[in-house]
Amino acid sequence: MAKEIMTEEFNAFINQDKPVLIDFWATWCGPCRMLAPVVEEVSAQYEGQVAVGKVDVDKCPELAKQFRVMSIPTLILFKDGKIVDQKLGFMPKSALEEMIRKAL
Amino acid sequence: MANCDLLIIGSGPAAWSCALTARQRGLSVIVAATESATGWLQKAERIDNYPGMPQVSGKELLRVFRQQAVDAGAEVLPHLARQVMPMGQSCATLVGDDIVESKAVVLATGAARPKLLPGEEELLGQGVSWCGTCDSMFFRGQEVAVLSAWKGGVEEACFIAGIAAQVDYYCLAGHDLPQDGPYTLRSGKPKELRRADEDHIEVVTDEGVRQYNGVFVFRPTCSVESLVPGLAMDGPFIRVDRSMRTNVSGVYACGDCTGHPLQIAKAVGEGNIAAITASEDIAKPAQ
Repeated sequence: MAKEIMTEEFNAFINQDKPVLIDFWATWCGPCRMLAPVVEEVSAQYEGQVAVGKVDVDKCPELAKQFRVMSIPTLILFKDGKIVDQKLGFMPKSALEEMIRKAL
Repeated sequence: MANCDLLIIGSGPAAWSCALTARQRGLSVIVAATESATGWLQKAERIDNYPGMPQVSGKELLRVFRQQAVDAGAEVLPHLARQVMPMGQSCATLVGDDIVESKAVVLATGAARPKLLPGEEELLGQGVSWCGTCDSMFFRGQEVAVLSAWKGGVEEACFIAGIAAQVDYYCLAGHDLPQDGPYTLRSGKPKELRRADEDHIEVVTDEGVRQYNGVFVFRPTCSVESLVPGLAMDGPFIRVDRSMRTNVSGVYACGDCTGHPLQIAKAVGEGNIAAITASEDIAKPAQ
């Protein structure tokens, strides 16, 4: 299950001993709603290997700003707290898995 | 969220023919049909090789096709289909800002392909966006340009104007445009998008250059490759078998988007086949 992450816990969340995937989204964004079940599926499949978080850009605009997110959905993959990959827009499960596997 | 058996994407002869046959086969049908002012057939003054309707105009032919499909019970959504996601037994498709869930999807998007501006794709997500409702909040209180190739851009511009401080509207292709919208009409024809600095994008037109925090681009079609990720192509056309199946399960294609000849009679025939194949596949028990 993807965890909702707020600004104050963000740094701790991305600094884990495994890759961390963050889904920047908003409730009113159609493509985000389409991507959400794919993110959930991948989150369950890679449980223990990858931590998955969701950032609502309405609740945490400062995070969106910090990572220069100007279009959603945006997926950012972190390893040791650093960005290793970033993808924009809806993507099928296979593409998301490929993104994650590269970081494992 | 809307539900149907068959979602058809397109507004030409193949789409309406497919919708008509699908309805006759008892399927519930939604047609995602943007009214593109640039469709070739809309402009055809006289068509002499479509049997049964001698010397008909393209406009009249399309009107009759559409009316017949609507009379048969096809529902029309006048929004752009942006993304098809096959999910095993069904497909979820983003149409406008709504998700349509269907058992199958038929692509009847025509042969015209959107021509992107230089710089557009490279700057996507970095100040350039194709989705007003998704991304306008990132430009709250800022200056934004809307570049639109169809009248759907007007609605988007009005939405964006409620959030951004200033909206300039540029026409990429001629379409009806209310003069009294909450935007400033700009007469220059956009040629290129460039990064100006960290926070600005330059819109280069034949009349000069202006800078914006954000640039939104709207067109009546999107490329089929971005519509259906992983779709097999033959050059610019979608690869189909004789039953109009694509390589993606549950996704079919018909009409000009599958290749030559780019003729109405061929499109209508393929629409008919796609509907029959889809209805047979839908009726098969799940494996």
